Amino acid sequence: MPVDAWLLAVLAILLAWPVPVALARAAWPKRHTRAAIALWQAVGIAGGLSLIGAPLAIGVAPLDGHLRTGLAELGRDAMHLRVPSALATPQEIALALAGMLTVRLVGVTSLSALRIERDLRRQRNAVDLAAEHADRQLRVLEHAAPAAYCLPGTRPRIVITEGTIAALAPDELEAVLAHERAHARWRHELVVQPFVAWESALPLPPARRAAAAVTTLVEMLADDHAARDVGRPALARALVAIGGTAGPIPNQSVNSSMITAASATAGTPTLTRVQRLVRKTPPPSLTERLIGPAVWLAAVALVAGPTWFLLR
Amino acid sequence: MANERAGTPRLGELERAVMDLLWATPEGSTAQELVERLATRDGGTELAPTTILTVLDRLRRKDFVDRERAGRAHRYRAVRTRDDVVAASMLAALETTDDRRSALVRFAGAVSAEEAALLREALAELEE
Repeated sequence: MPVDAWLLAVLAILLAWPVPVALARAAWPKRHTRAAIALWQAVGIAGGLSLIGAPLAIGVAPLDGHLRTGLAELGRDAMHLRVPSALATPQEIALALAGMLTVRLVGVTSLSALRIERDLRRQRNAVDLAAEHADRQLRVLEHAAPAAYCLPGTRPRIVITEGTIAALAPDELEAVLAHERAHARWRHELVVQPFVAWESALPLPPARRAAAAVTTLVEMLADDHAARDVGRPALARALVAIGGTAGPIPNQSVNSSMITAASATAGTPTLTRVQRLVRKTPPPSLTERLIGPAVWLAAVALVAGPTWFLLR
Repeated sequence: MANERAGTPRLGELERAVMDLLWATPEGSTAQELVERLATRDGGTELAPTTILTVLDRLRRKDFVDRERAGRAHRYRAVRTRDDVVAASMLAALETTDDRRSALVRFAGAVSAEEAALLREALAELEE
């Protein structure tokens, strides 16, 4: 058995479980949101590559030391409807496993994307027809409960309720809108959706934590945009006004495909976000300043490693 | 392309106008009645009946309108009231579950009473 194929398998296991768990628990990401998101994305890409690459590499190992040439040989034989004689049952099992994983990852990801697109289309139709059009992008729903959200896409809609307007001071409302506009403008859904799909494909605690962590990081990113435009105090007050008084929405039964916004621990990210806005940050130490570049470097290495292994 | 750009918002506006009329008349309307009522609203200029039928067709495909036969014409009706549509939108966007299917994120999640207190405490730090 080639050592490097097993290294890839070890990487796949690390990236599927301990790494996301540790990353979700770390404290530094809230101070380095962009770098942290890049690292999460790298963990996802490298995780997928190694998860499929490891069984492939183990499967074709007897054909050639290199995965690419080994696969080419396998492909040539497959064209003639035969399995290379060098492959025994364990290798065939590994190859079947790689095939099944590929089908599952691709299938679940496409299904998840389709489902999200369908839900969003319904939501867009509903707010376009039933809400007040405040401007090209902003929709105001006639509802007393405060709420603000973004329907992302190429023509995004920002939705608020009359209750939101009533609950907030003008600068707080401006902060909420700046936050949602940042989501819309920077297409944050493209960051979050792959992790939602990952969670559907691998319904394990680490994947759930990854999706929750990335969702919170994206909220912090939008908070930073809003804080720059409107100031931290207004945003913090808006978060407390909406997060602290909204209370649970009546627990009616709704279509299971409905869009969800928060997990059972939804409140905790809100508190972290407020604390992040109100606490004075001491000037960063040398270590603190090195975290950012180090994380970016790790992200690049994480993607480059398995890619090089698969393509060499 | 230029046509499309000019055309789509126009259709969108008409869809909203037609929905407003249908929401205001729970017993439903025929296409001809809608043409007349829109003309009254806009000060006399009548739209072509085919335009209204196109709009109604789009609304039917979006599942906002259904129709039944009424003599030689069809009577069109809103499938749900406006309040129901608004309430469903809110629930869809804000529902709290573990099953996070979409990348949609609301501004701030609902919190427990305990956490609300912590939030206000955090805010007090700001005001000091």
